[in-house]
Amino acid sequence: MRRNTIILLGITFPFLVLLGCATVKTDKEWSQFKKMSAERTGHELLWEKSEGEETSTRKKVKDFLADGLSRDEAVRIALLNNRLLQSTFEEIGISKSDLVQAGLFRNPSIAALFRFPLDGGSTNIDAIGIFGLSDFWQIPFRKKLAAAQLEMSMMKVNQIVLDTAAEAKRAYDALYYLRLGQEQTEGILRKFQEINDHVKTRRQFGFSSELDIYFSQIMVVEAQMELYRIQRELAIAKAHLDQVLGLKKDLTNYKIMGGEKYQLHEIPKVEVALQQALSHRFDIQMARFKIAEAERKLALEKVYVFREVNFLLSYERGIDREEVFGPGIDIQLPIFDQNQAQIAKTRYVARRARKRLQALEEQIKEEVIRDLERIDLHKTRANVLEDQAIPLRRKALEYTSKWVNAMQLNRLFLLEAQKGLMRTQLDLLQTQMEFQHALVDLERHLGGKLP
Amino acid sequence: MKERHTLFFLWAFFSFIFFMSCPGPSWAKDDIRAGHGHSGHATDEGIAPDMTSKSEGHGLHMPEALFAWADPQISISPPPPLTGKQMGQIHTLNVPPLGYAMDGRVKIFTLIAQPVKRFLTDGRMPDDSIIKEHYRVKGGMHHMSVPKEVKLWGYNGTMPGPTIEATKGDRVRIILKNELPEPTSIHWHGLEVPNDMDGAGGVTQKPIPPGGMFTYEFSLHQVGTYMYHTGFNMMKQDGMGLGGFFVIHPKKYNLRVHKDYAIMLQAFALLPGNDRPNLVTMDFNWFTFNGKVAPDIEVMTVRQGERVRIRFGNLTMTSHPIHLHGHTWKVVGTEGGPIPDSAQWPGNTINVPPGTTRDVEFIASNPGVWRIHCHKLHHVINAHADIPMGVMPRGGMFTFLNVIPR
Repeated sequence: MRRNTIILLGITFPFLVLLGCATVKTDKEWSQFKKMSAERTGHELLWEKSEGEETSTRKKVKDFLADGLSRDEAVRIALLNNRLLQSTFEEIGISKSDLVQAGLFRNPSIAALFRFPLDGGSTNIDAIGIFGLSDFWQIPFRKKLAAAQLEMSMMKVNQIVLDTAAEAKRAYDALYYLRLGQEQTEGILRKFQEINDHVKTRRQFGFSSELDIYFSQIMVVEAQMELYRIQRELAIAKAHLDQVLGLKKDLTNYKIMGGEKYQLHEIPKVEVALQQALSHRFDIQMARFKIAEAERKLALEKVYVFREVNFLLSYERGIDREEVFGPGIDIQLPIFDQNQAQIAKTRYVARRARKRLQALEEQIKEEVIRDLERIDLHKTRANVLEDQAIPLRRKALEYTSKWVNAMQLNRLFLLEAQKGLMRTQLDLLQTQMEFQHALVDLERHLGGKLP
Repeated sequence: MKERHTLFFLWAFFSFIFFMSCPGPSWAKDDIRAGHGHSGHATDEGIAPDMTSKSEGHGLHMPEALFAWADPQISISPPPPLTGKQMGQIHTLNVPPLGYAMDGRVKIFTLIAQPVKRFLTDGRMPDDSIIKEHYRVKGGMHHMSVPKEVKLWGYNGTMPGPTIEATKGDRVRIILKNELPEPTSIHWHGLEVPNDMDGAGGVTQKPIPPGGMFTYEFSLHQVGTYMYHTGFNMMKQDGMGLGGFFVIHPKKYNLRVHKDYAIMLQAFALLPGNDRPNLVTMDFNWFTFNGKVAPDIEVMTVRQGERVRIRFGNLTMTSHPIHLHGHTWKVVGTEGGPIPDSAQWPGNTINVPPGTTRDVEFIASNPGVWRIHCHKLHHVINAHADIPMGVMPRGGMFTFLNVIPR
């Protein structure tokens, strides 16, 4: 009998110990994640896990910034160095840990009683080993659920990668165009000051009144306010870009190289764009996984009707040295709680997930249409400004220059024509920025590069 | 009951047919034509005129274009052969003279009303040393003069038209050809002609259609300085420059003059860079002697002691007080003819009201270069712009009398 017991324990214990050796490794998930992300953004990611890697990232960032920052470099830096994004990568580890945890058996427990006869005799030993038997059928369900959650975490992080790339582009564009806008507005302000000076000169010749001077001064003041607003917006945009790029103070003094003129030869059709959005977007994939997760949870909750089933191994040695050894079972009987509430809750969760998916599909459709309309609007507007309005402004300027030089028009016409050209150029800059923003939004709303 | 329904149905049906066959109000048709344009030819305005439509009241072919300078389908003739041939005595500054042919005892003049391009100024500094001095003043607005070519209407390729010279008692025949894009006629301003020769288009004669001709013929029993100008659609056609002098010499002058000049006063409203005059404004900014502004107006060069006559005619909407430096003249004639010696008055400024002529005579006794100009200061500056003024070069109605000493 004792031999049998020893053999049983000898086999069971190493097995249990082996089960307990499972570790959390994320290499596979990270490489899978990196590949998917590179497909969507075109850039490599780095998950800083050690001080050495942090130093390497910092060096790369410095190299990117050394000769000025391009839009593409801004995206690369953000994907490498954005602090929020780096913190989000840890989600993968957290979810992977949950998956490993879901596959682990509960540790067995041993309870032992040692009772000493007061009237003499052998010590009474009463020992019981408890093993969670229900883990055998619950673990597969738990693992499936945790795997779904890991998938969702990876999608969530991927979405954040896309958002970060998009935010870097938006922040870069905003800074770039605001800088140009600032230069343009400075020019407009100078023009208003010239007009103001000229109106004062004209007053000496009887051509203008006090009222004209007031009005021209108001224009100067308004232009100053406009410039001040742009300067503040510029400061905000700079701080935002620094934050998105994760730059510390010593690296924030860099030069903006210039916006890349985004050549979108053909605006994708709604159907094509929508198809890509529905197949590529991570939020809709997550919404679909939410349904799968709810279904897995439901399966698990059904298994939880018998939540606790334990295998018992009992040993007893009486005071008369008589030994008994034998198995037992511990079952939590589903009499009062048959887990029906959790099952029902999970069904509600599943239904909610399905409805959310439908709602998200509608939202995606609206977002895609909105982005395409915005792109069309800003592209058309930019083309009209570039191809029609600015050439007309230039012609007006040529005309006024010629006739002001011939003294057949007064100089105010020339100044107004110059100001008009600058205003239209400023309008073009703003439209180009809106166009770039709309493209970035579309890219984000399609879940990656444009088709 | 059934019969009533049938009758009602027939009434409704025929009413519908009748309504559908009605041409509709004229304004509705005009709108349609204006909206789509009939087949025709493009003018330089880019508007397709409808040569088939008829003008109200005259039964004439009218282009639909609101303002066509020239009709590309009407070829512009060169000036008739006698244009430029001096057969009289008058020197109309910057305008060629006009000769005549004879048909028995009738003098035949030919006028072609046609689109004319006219340089009011060519923008170059004049070579003549006597009119350079303004351009050399330090701080002067030297670059003010740039070429100003204008699209106007005139006769025989010139604006104003050439001066017609005849003698009292002559019978004249004036053949007018219309090469304008719209009907026209000529009114003989101040001449006592038979009513059907008065040239009041639409009143005493049918306006001459584009491409058409008309012959005026009458005898001259008056003497003096008269004018001719359009007799149809005057606000537009006079504004476009259709006018000229008609001078009737006496058979013998009491006092012969050595130099007989004619200066037509005209004004135009022209925007910078625009070669079409604004015809509905009184805000003129280019004031011309014979279709030229200073410094492009010819200088009148005479010898000391010569007797000089200058004839002024005013086809503008305001009066022009013309002033000559260094001399005193006598006003010897108006659009009513010569002023008797006893009624002539001396002066050196003669106000020429709209629609009148004034003749002045004097002996060029005072040698030197003398200004002659309108004394309304706005009329001696080109292209009025509201610019702070420096030393401005002269423009407008401004030239010189150069009296060469003996």
